Amino acid sequence: MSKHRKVAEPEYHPLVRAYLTDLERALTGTEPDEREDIMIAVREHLQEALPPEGDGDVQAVLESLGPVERISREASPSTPEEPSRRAGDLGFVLSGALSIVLLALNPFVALFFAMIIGSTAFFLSRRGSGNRGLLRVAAGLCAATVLVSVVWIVALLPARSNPPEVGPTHSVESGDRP
Amino acid sequence: MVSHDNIRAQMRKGILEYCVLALLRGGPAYGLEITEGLSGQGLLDSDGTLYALLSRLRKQGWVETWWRESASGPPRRYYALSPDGAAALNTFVDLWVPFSQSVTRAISEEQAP
Repeated sequence: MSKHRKVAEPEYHPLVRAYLTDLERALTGTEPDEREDIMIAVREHLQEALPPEGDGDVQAVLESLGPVERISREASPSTPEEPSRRAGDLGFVLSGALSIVLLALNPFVALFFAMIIGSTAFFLSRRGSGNRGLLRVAAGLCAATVLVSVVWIVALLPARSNPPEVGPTHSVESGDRP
Repeated sequence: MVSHDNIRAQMRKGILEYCVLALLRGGPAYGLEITEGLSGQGLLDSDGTLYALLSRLRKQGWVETWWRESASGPPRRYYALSPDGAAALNTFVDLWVPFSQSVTRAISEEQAP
């Protein structure tokens, strides 16, 4: 079964609804994945601890869960993206665009450049370092450059390998020569 | 003056996660089972904080989770000890036993001058 699964939302007691709203608000500044995990787990806990019919001891169950602030203190705060890292990722995108410009000058240089930048951006995005979206854009631009430059180089090869055809030579004899 | 609750909260920090791992050594368990197990031993004063801890342990790769249908209600998310979690627990146990003995010796009255 999947790791993330939404538990079917039952009809909650008004106190439970208020608690869940407060908890969601308290978890605003935490890691999004962790926030989702906690909300799912707390909902599951409430469904297990409270009988489906009747109110059960709602107050006691909510007290056992504890104040929402205490739960949010336990959660990891979300980490804002560092400006320097974002600038680095933008640099990859610009380099990807530059590789396309280089195509117009020299497909061999463009191919070499795009392979280095593209593979680095690809591995960084796979590793989860930096902004995955920007790194994928950079890798995509470089992949396009590699594709175009390879086609271009393949098209150029026959033209370079075949020496220009030389027509039959005609010796010109001049009878005027002394 | 430092309150009883503050000291207990400080003592739990960094230790509770290993108690969760130790509890999972007995086999996979779902959220409410884990909270009941820890609360029964007086290790948890609010059940909700456990879910933040479990989420962190999952992110660290120390526990694995999956959903299983329940005969008596909604599906349950089960938590199990991962190989990395088991290794972390073994390391903690190796360190904890001599550490706790040292603390006990340090605070025992016989050691006082």
